[in-house]
Amino acid sequence: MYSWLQLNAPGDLLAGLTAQLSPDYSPRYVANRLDGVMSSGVKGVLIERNYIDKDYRSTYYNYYSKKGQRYKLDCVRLHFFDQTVTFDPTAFRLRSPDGRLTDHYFGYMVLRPTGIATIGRSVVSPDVRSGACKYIITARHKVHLLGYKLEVEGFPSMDQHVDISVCAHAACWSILRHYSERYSVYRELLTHDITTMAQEFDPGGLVPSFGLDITHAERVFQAAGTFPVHVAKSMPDDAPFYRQLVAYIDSGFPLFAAMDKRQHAVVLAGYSWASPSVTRPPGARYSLDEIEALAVVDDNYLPYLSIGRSGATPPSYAADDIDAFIVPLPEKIYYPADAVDKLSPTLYKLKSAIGFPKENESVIRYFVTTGSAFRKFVRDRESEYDPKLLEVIMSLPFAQFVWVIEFATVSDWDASTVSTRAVVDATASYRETFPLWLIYDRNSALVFDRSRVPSDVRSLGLTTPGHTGYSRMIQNLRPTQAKP
Amino acid sequence: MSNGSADPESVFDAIKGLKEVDPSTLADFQKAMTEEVIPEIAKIVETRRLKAVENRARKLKC
Repeated sequence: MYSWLQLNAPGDLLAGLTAQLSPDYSPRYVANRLDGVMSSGVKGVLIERNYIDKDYRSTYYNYYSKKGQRYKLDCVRLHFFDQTVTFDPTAFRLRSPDGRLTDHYFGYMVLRPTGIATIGRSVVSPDVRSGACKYIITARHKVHLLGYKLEVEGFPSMDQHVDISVCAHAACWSILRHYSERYSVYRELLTHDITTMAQEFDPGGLVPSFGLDITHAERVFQAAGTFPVHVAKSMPDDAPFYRQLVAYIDSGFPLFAAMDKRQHAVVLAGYSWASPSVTRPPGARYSLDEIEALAVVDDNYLPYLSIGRSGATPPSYAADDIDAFIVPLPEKIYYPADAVDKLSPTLYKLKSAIGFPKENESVIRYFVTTGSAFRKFVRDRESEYDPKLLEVIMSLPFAQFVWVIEFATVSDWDASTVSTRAVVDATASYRETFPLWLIYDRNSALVFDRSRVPSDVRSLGLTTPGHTGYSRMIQNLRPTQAKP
Repeated sequence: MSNGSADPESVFDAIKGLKEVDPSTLADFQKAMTEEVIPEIAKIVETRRLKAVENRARKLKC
C-alpha cells in the first residue's frame, strides 16, 4: 500500500517509479515530467496506492466505466518530502527530526490509471519548482496521510484528460479548486462538474474534448458563483491590457488566459519583479514595467512555469502571446480596472494638496484588496503612520473591496516603499468624479465622506514618524522560498 | 462637491483635525475627470466590451 523512494541521484525517480508502478499510471511519462524541473530539494517520495481520488472518480463514473477498455477505480498518490524525513514501512510511520512533518512536506501528485495524461489533481509547493516566480497565488491545502494531517501551500494543477477534457477545462478546474480552498463561499467542483457546467445542457460523450469557446469558460466561472470579467486585447501592444492583467494577479485573482494562435488556455498565478540593479529607461512607469516573468499553470508542464514578457519561440510562449483573460471576481467590484488605469495618472492633478513623486520618475502600481485586509496591513505597521491618519483609516466605512493605487519613486520601488497611496472605492461607478475614500502622502491626506452624494472632502495635516516612505502593500501573494 | 458642514451621521464628526478644503485645490482634477477622463473611460469600457463579444467564439482545445 505504501512505499518509499529515496532520491539520491538524478535517475532514482525514473528507476523507482517504473519499478513500482504499473503502466496504467505511465510512470516513465510522470518521471520525465518531473525530471529537471522539480528541484533537488525533494529527497523522498512516499507512494500511496489505492488512493480514492474524487476528481478521477467523477470522470470514472461518468465516462471511463462506460468504456469497453477496463480502467482501475483507484489512483496512486505521490507525496514529496525533504531530506530530513524517513519512512518506517513496518510501523507505517513518517519521521522528521523536529516532529513537524508539514514543514518538510512539498505536496502531492495524484496519478490516474488512464494510461495517457495520467497526472491528476496535484498541489505542489512552488518552493520545489525550479525557476518558479518570486510571488505566487497560493492557498493552504490540507492533506490526510497515514493518520497525519499535513498542509501544503500551492496552486492546484492537473493534466487535461485529452479524451473528455481539454486545457481550458483543466484551467477552469485549477482556478475553482483554488477558490474553494481559499474562500469558504465557493464550493468544490470536480472535473466532471466543470465539463457539464460549460454547456447549456450536458453534452455527454466526447463533446467536451472538442474544446471550449471562451464564452464556455465564462459560463463555468459564472455557474461556480463568481462574476467573471472577460478582457480582450484590443491591439498587439495594448499596455493597459497588460497593466490590468498584472493588477489582477497582484490582487490575488488567478487569471484564465487564452492564446488564440495556439488555441490554448492556461492559468496566470504569479510573477517576478526585475531585480533593482536592472537599468530602467527614463519616464513614468507602471508595475507592469517592473515585471520580469509571469507564473503559469499549464497542463502540459509542471505548475509554476515562468514565462517572459515577449520574444518566445514555439513551443514556448510569452506574455505577448496572451490575447484575452477572464478574471473570476467576487460580486462587489464594479469600478473597472480600465477606469483605475485612467484615474491613476489623473491623481497628479491633486498635487497642490498631496505630494507625489515627479510624474516622469515614478512607478504606479494598482491592485484590489479588501477594506479589512488594508486595515490589517496598516495595523501591522502602525508605527509608520501618524495616529490621526490611522484613526481615519480605521474609521472610514470602506465597502468590502477597495482599489489601492501606490505611487513610488524609483528608489522607493527598489526599497519596497511608496510615497503616496490612494484608496479607491471598488463599488464606485466609473462616472463618478471622486471615487476615492482617501489619498495620502507623508505630510497630508485628503479624506472623502462617501456617506453623502456627492461625497464631501476634508484635508488632514500629518506628522509622519521618521521614515522616507510607507511600506509597499504585498499581501495577496506568497513569496517563494526556493529549496535548491 | 459639497463643502458644507457635516450632518451628525457624517464620518467627519468622528475624526478630529479635519479641515475644509479650498475648492480651487480640486478644480484641476475635477475638470480633467469630467471633461476628459470619464468620457475616455466610457469609450474604453465599450471598446473592451465589443472586443470581448468578438472574442467569445474563440476555440480553446490544445
